[in-house]
Parts: sequence; structure tokens; C-alpha cells
Amino acid sequence: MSPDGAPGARIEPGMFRGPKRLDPCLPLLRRIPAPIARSFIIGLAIGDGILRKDRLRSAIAWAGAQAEGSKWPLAFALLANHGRFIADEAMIGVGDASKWPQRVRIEGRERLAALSGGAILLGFHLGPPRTAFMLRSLGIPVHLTGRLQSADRDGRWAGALQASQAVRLPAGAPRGRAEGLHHIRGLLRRGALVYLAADGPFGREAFRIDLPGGPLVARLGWFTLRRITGVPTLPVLTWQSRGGRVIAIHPPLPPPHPDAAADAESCRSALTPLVEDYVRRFRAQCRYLAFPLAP
Amino acid sequence: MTNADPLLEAVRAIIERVAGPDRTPPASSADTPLADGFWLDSVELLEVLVACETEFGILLDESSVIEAGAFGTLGSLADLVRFRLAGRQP
Repeated sequence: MSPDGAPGARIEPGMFRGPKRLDPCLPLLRRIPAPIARSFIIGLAIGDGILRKDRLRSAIAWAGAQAEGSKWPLAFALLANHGRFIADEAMIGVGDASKWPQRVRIEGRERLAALSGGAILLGFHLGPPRTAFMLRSLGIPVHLTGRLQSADRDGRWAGALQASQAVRLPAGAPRGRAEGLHHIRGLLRRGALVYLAADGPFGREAFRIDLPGGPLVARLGWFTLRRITGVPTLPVLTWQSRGGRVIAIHPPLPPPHPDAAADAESCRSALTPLVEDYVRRFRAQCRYLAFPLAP
Repeated sequence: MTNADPLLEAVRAIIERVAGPDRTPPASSADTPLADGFWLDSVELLEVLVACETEFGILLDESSVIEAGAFGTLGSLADLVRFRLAGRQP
């Protein structure tokens, strides 16, 4: 089996994964006031976690491995945030992708202005979803990449996908993913800004960042594109604060090292403090570290 | 298996260099799929393409790769390289 189709660790069959399971309910949920709809989805995520004991067990195990705090409140906060982020993915309370109503603040935007050519914005499956969409809604012309499945199921995203010249990387299809990666390479060479996920359920491992409760596994896709193109790669981390959403654009990773192993270590060394700090500050938003994203 | 076509053999050697000799099927031909025959994943397919560009001094742009189905088989990739070397469109 190709590594492109290789499943990630700890897959939970039939687990409540996101908007797809909500599809039949979405018309109703969008007709009722958004706070009520969001509360319903949060309740659903918590209830799902309790009913499917593996999910709650994973959350408790992950929470128990953290250095601070009681594990039970953290486990339930993880489940609740899973629901909140699912509601975000389903655009509950959002009329149009270009009119994202939440308050979003970008830290480090000046780093984009300093770029002279193509660059990779390196996102993570940490915190709230839709970072690339939000960057676009804030006027940053970033190209979206990935499976984009949940976006496919929502017609309101179609315009945003088209406008961003989104590059699809279909799951379990080496040839289709290779064509996507080659397309991204072309975009980067032509000076484009491309948002890529560092981690996720697909692809071979480039390196891992060991964290309490389980590692964050960085995949080879972005890493190889960075090595091939030599473009700057800026880590991007997103979190939800009381004042709204914050998207932090960090300084670029070190330039590629000729030796791949040394390069992986260089990236790992640069990313580890960023990710460790994120997990320490926003533990309850690290849902996919507690229950990893399934393919 | 040795192919009579030197270009095909050169591309096969590039694949073997990227994927390693263990993954190269003993009886490869122009029809051998890159993904399901050489068992290349998406990143390796891209690496093979880039290695071909470097080795042969050509540029394999996105549209020509898709039109030629270059990620399909050893032969389709070799054909695209051949056309680029000849300075023609596939």
C-alpha cells in the first residue's frame, strides 16, 4: 500500500469527525439562532465523546499527560472545543466566506510584506480550523491546499476555493497528489503564497515533535516542496482567545540544508519550541493531538 | 530487466535512485505503473520528476505533466522527457 493511503495512528472507526455527519442537520441548524446551533454541536461533541468511550478515554489520557491542571476538566474542554471547531467548519453563523464575522487578529503580518517571492505558510492541525480561508478574507492572497473535503460539502466555500486557485491533494491517490504537489511547486516558483499543513493523516513522516501525551508528526509533503523550491517557510499557528481569533505568523524556518536528515533536524529544532509553547498555552485547543485526525 | 530504449533505462535508473533498488520491480517495462508498479508515493513521484529535470536539463511544467499523464507509467514519463529533449510539445 502506498504511504499516501497509510492510516494515521489511533484511528477510531465511526468516530464523530466533523461536518459530514452533520450534513443532514445543517439546514435546520442554520435556521435557528447561531448560538443555539453552536451549543447543540458542542453538546453533540461532548455526548459523542462520552458515548464512544474510546474518544473520552483518549482525551483523558492526553489530558493526564499534561504537566498542569486536572485531567477531567481538560478532557471535557477538549471535547467542547472539538464541537466549537466543528461548528466553525460548518460555518454556523457565517453567511458568506468573505464576511467572516469573527474578530481575527494577525500577528507577524509584516513578515509577509518582507517576502520577495514565493513562500510556504506552514499551518498545523492545532486550534481552530479555516486559517487559510481567514487569511484570504483578510486580504492575504494565499492559495489553499489539501483534501478540502469539508469545503466541498458547503456551496458557500465554492467561490473562495475558486478565487484561491485551491490545489487539491486527494487522499490515497499518489498520482493525483503528485500532480497537486507539482502544481504547488509551480505556484511557489512563480512567486505565490501557499498554505500547507505540516501535519495530518497522510504521507510519510519527515520528523516528529515529541510532546506530553503523544507526538506531532510532520509529514514529507511541505518538507520536500521546501527543499525543492528553497522558498521561505513561515510557521503559522492559530488559536481562539477571549477577544477573538489570533493567527500568528512566525519567522521563517532556516534555509534548507543540503543533507535531508540534517534539514529535518533543523526544522524540528526550529518548530519544537513554537509547538511546545502553543500546547502549553492552549492545551484545550489541541484536539487532534488528543485524538489524531483520521484519514 | 534491461530495456532496449536507453532513455527508458535512464529514467528507470532515476526512479531506482529515488526509491531504492528494493522497490524496483525485477521486470519493469514502459507499461509499469509508477505508483502501483514501482510503489512510488506522491512525494517520490515529485522527486523523480525533479530528478529528471536536473538530469536531462529540461523543465517539465504542470500542464505538460498532466496532459502527458507523466505520473502514470515509466513509459509515459520517459515519453515526456523525450519530447522535451526534442524541443517539442507532447
